[in-house]
This record gives sequence, C-alpha cells and structure tokens, in this order.
Amino acid sequence: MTNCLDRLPQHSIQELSHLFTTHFKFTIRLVECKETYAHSHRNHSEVGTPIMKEKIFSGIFSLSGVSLMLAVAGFVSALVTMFVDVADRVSVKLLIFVILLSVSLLVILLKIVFDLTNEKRPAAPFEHPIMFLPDEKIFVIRRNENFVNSIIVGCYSHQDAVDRLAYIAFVHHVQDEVIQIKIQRDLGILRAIPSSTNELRSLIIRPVVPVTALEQYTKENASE
Amino acid sequence: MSDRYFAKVVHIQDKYTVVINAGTDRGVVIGKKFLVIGLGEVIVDPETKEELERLEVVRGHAQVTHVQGKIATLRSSEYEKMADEREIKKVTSRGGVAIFGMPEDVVTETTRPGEQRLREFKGVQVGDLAIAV
Repeated sequence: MTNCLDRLPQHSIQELSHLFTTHFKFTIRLVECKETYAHSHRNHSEVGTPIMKEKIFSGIFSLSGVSLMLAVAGFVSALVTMFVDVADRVSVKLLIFVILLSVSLLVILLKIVFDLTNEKRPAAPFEHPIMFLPDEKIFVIRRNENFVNSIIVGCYSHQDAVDRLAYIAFVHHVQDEVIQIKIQRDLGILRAIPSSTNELRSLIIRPVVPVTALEQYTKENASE
Repeated sequence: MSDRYFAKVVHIQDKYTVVINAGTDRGVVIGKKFLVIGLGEVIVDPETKEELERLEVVRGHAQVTHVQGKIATLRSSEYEKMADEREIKKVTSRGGVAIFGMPEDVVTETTRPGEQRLREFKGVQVGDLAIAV
C-alpha cells in the first residue's frame, strides 16, 4: 500500500485523501443525523442511542474485539500473501470503490443494529409527568405501553434518592402521544401538587401500587 | 377530520344529551358508544420542546339513543354514585333492667345506599368531537 502511494502523483494522493475525509465526514454526519432523530423520538431512542454507542464501543474495545481484529488481520494477510502481489500497482478508482463499498456496508450494518436495538427495547417502566392540569387534577405523561386505560397507577415523590408514594391515580385517557393520569387519592406526602417543570421532574409515575396502599385505599373507599 | 375523531358535536340538547353530525349514512346504530372530547391546548415536552399533540379534554362517555340519516342523538352513559348514607340510632334504656345494675344500650345502624345519578357532560360545546369506542 505504501509502495503504491509512493508511486502515485502528489495531486492524486491529495485527491484520495480529500475523498476519504469527505466520505468519513459524511458517515459521521449520517450517524449524527440518526442520533438527532433518535433524540426527537425519545421514548425508545433517547435512552437507546447512548446504550447503542456503549454496546458498539464495548464490542470493539474488549477482549473479543481485539481478538477479532487480530483474527481478521491474520486472515487478510494470509489471503494477500497467497493470492495478491503486494508490489503491484493499484488503481485509485478501485481503491476508492473498495473504501466506498466497505464504509457503506458498515453504515448499513450499523443502521440494522440501531433499528434492532430500538425494536427489542421494552417501554420504560415509569414516566415523569410533563404537565399538570390543576382544575381536573390530571398529570399528562408521554405515551407508554405500560399505561393501559383505567389501570391504577402510583405517583411517587423522588427526594433524596427515596421514592415515596404521594398519590394514587388512574389512567384517565389515552391519546396518540400523551396519556392523562387523574389523581384519585392524595396521601398527604407533598404539601402541594407539583406543577412546575422542576417539581414535575421529581415525580415518578409507575403502573405499580404497593398492596398495603391499595388495601388502605379500598378500606377508605368502603368507609366513605 | 382525522380517523380518530368519528364525528363532531353539532347541537347540545341539554346537560346529558348532544347531537353529532353522523347518522345511518356512516353506520351509526342505536347503542353505539362514543367518547365525547374537546380539544385543549397543545402539549409541549418541556425538555425537548417538541410539540406532541393537542390535549383531549374528556367531556363524558355517551351512547346513541336515536339515529337519523345524517345525525345521531347521544346521551350520557356514565353514572355517578352518591355516597352511602349511614344512620346510627342509639337508645339507652334505664328502666326496670337498670335495677339489676345492667343498663341496656340499643344501637341501630342503617345504611342507605347512595343514589345513582346520570353524569352530565362536563363543559361540552358545539364543535367538540366524538371518538367511537
């Protein structure tokens, strides 16, 4: 390869380097675009993209990654030694074609991995409310498959790394993108119902209510 | 109108009854259930600033009671139960039995189940939408 490049005219090497850089930048841009897209489709992808990155990096920079690289290098060198004359000239067009083909294949494979990662990830087991409607005592959360119409949910106040059940609520209405959660019982943990963005961040809504809280709720309902 | 919204409320008869602009021409039959909603503000994700969709304000659940060619009459199909009434009567008898040092208290507790009332459409307006359930 070095021999080939030595024999090439200077402007060809520059062109080759420019082409390679452009293609590499294009690939990075493609991945960035995917990340932006993923961020805008938060429920599955906001959490998914860093995980995917981690998976790829851990796959490459791991013992199996290193051993795979060694294996591939050995395989390629064996093939080259057996069938290819390394002193021969290589066409720049052919070289660019091979680079283009391999990078395209890599991007396609990355896309497939990305899509599969999204497909297999189950919906988050909790949601933070994004809005509170004080008149109706309704929290609005993003659509999540774990929140089915009419089920009882728990609203937990997350403070000092401790979750405390603050409200018992139920799924009031499911829309295409959001879900309305109506408060049914205030357990008196919080002085006022969180309404600002920061306050809402400290509230976690889960489709799970402790059985003791449910029993208490049932008893109170019966006595009313 | 999107597929999600079947029809529009075109007339409000009373607190419990509304008329929609779909009838036998669109396959509405007596007994068909609808959810009547009004469209509220646009919900924006505070983190991503992404506009999600307009909030659907639930007015109430309804059922078709009468169908015409192009319109149908819907009546609220939800009931709200009033709280049970509990009456406790305590009668203390200090007559002849009290002589033997055993005063007798009679406590009578009666529970009257709360009555069920048809729930009215909350804030329903002309232009609200009906979703087929």
